[in-house]
Amino acid sequence: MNLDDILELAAAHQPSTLDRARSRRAAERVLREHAKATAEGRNLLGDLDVEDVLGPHADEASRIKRAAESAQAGWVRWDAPARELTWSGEMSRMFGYPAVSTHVAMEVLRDGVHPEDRARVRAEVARGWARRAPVEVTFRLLRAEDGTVRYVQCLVELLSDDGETPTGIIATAHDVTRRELDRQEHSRRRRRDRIGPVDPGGPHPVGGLAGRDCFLRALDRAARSGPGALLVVAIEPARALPDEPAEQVIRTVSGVLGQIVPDGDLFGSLSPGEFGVLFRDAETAAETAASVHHQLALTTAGGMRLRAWGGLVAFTGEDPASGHDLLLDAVWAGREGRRKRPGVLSVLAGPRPARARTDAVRAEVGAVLRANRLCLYAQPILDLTLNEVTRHEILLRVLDEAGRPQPPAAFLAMAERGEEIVAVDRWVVEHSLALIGRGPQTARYQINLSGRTLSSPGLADFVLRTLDRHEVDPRAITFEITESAAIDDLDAAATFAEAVRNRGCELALDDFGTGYSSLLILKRLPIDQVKIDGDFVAGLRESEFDRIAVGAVVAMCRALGIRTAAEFVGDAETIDLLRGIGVDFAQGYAIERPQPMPSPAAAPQPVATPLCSRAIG
Amino acid sequence: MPNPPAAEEEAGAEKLRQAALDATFTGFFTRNHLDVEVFLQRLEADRGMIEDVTQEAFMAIRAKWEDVQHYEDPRAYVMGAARNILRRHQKQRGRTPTLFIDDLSLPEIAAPATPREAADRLAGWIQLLPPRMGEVMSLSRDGHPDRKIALLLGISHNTVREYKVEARRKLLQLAEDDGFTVPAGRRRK
Repeated sequence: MNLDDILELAAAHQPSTLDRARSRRAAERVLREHAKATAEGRNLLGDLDVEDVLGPHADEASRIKRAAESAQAGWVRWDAPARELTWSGEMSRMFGYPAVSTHVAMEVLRDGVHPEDRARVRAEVARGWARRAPVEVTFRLLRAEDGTVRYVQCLVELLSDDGETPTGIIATAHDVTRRELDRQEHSRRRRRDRIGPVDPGGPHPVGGLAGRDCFLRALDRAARSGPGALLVVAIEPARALPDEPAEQVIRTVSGVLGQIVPDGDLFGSLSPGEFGVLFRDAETAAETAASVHHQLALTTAGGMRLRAWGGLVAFTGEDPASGHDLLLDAVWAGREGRRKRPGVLSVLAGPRPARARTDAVRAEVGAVLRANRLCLYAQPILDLTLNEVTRHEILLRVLDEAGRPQPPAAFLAMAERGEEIVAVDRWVVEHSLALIGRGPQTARYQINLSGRTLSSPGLADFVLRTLDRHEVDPRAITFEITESAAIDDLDAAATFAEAVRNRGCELALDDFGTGYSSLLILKRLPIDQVKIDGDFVAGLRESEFDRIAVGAVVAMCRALGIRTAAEFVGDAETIDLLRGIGVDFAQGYAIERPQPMPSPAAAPQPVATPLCSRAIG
Repeated sequence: MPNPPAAEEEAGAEKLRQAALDATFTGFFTRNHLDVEVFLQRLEADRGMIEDVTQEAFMAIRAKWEDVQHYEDPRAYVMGAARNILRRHQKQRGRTPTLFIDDLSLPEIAAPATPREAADRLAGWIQLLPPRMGEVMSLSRDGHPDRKIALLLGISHNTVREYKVEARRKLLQLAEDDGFTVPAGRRRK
């Protein structure tokens, strides 16, 4: 079946008996209404043409003009032989002029069309004239009176006395502003809905647990609205396990929590081997928590007996403690309890005083630093233009009780709460530069500095002296400003930035697009490189939002003379996408995982993994 | 006191005149009512609005039926009036119809089996044309010559001719998009 078949079939349409009956009823209704309206003296004609439009008319142009006028549309006519341009009062009003003159200058028409639409309108009209075809064109009209803009739809028709030779043009114009705005709004909403708001941090990929960020957000809310209780349990062994058995442990723990924790209470994974439960009922929390603790100690996962210790802290919702404070307190309680009474859940009746918490944090960070329980890793960064590793980011690892390196997220979050982060950052600068100074210095290194450290007094002096002491070429060093804490004092940070950049170091802004890593920092500090937060990179292949956001950041940075880097690059396709978007550097497991220093740092080599070589072109 | 005989006579004559008008109008109405509705259905999807517009148009025609009945083509005149009223109603609806071509998902469309289904399918396509082109197409489907369409819509002959060609091209495209490409055999049931 094609169009002609359907046209033919439709033409065979004959009214049914039902249709005829409906017509008769409709006719009666019209006559009844008409009689009623006449009796009431109502006018039924509305804006109906009072003359027979089909009757004889002088010429086509005056007929079209009259039709336009009765439809409240404007018209403008070009009479070719007379070289005369005339317009209607309505058209004149549309352009923002009083309707006094019927003649109009070409310049007036041209200037009334929005500059961005002028070329298009001219081309359309020229096309219509050349092809002797009508054109419909929608454009913006710039009203002379007040500079406001209206959308106008124009039907541009060719006039011809004999139906052959064109003798002029007549254009009828309707104001379609509302329709056009509706259309734009409609397509805007469609685009917005298609890209949609992206759900932050869904369930943990293993065992349906909430992730750390998700759990912390819920905890922060609970700490303000309380009451409730927070349980943190640490599980051994979990930290040092390879991926597969570690996931087995998470699944097992998740199963136990799912059975005991009341419906509606949240539980999540905080770090490897550390789990949190947020109870809404503080009364029954102690009992449930004790049962969780007890049950976990009786559980085996993958043939291994689990060991558990934990701390519970109750809160009222009116304490001055934040979610993170509560977390510190619960972890502290668990650790203290394990030392004093192993095997028993340690319970705090409420958050510790801020002072005690600060002191404990200071003591703990101090102990880690004194015992040198920190070590450095380096993660290669791929230069996407050269397809070669030219840089490394230096990362911190904290050694646990058994001397195994652990990710530093919890440790740094703790240190960043006080001044301790400055000491940690200085430790990193000192030890990194020492290691780099011993190596061949062929690669560049990126060292993290917290926002708090950046504005601490004497930092520039310390950094420059350390560079000299270890004979490190400053041009090989980039300092990354991390976003996790706000920069206290932008002026002090600017002073530091100026001092180290004068010596040849570069500055990078880490985690761009999240938290405190804002445009304002980009504006106030002489940043050389922006590292786009992994949140926008990890899902780049699937997420249109991420591609648009990364593309916009790259375009902005290019214009500002800033290079861009992407973190959390997970696969070769993402590398290709990033190269296509124009990102300068990529970092992530697709390139290489962090390796302990100094081995790769001592002899950094251009790494060409199979992934990288495939990523060419 | 009884009415003067002259006035009574005049009222009676007026009554007769109106009754005669009612009679000829009813004939006109039943002959054309469905065609006007079909014509409007090609310009608007909302059947309720079409019913209102049809009634309003015929009431206006009835109000000046005395003149209109002598017009060159009363049927074409009522279509023109209905089209004007429809456009006014559409404008007053607040939001313009939110049916845009890119919205259409493409479910499998069954081939129309009856003339009514074919007319509905066709109406659906004509609604997707630019408004003025849809009007030209719809009037032309109703059998009006180009000259009359130009007069009714207040556009030039040239425009009507061009729009008919352009509308057919677009309809072919729409039909193709909906999977109607292969001509049926001439002997269709």
